[in-house]
Amino acid sequence: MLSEYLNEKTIRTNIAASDWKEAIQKAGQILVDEGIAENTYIEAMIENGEVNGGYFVLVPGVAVPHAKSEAGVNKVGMSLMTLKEPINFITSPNNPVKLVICLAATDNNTHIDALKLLADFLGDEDSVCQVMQAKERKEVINVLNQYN
Amino acid sequence: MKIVCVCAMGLGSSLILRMNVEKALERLGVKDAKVEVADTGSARGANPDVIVSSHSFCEELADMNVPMVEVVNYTDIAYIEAELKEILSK
Repeated sequence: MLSEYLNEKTIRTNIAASDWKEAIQKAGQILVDEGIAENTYIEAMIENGEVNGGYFVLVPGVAVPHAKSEAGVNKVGMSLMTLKEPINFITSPNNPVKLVICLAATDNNTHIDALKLLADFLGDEDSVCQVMQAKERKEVINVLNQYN
Repeated sequence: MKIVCVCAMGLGSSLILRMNVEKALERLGVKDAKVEVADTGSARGANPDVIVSSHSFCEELADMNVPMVEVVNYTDIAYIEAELKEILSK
């Protein structure tokens, strides 16, 4: 169930960030606050962007930062953050980004079901649009509740 | 036929890509294809018949001379389907 990972504790709306690194820093901090990952994981996600570019902006307006689990993941988890203003994430044809979903995985299998639901959500333009425009956390939760 | 979805880590975006490549293959009625995920390092050793990935990785692996599907939107199944159809018809 997507709500196991994306819920009141791990969703934030309308967060201000001055650039893509700060956006990942803030979305990653949610993972750290919830004990899902360590600060080193936030650094690794940012480094991934520096080394590999903006490939993790997977669909128009949505970035899915992630890094290898050895970089500091404690348990499988996700965080979701909508940005106050759209930000360009390095270079990507899917820029600018309005929605950041950080992914923390422990191996290649535990998170597959949740990833499948996330993929379903990302493939639904209307749902993605609704989440991007949400003013409050519960609006986001309502949209994501379809994916269970 | 082996299709390899490539990304930097092999655990996030490539998995989402694999799910959508499998959906595209289902729509095309292709039953004998195997879809795997790999990072750029292991992609070379995986002996793929087709590579599916985003621009920068396709560019990095261009010297492998393997047909490539370069995706922009990871969830655009129709696009993946059309590209695979074209490759498979050759």
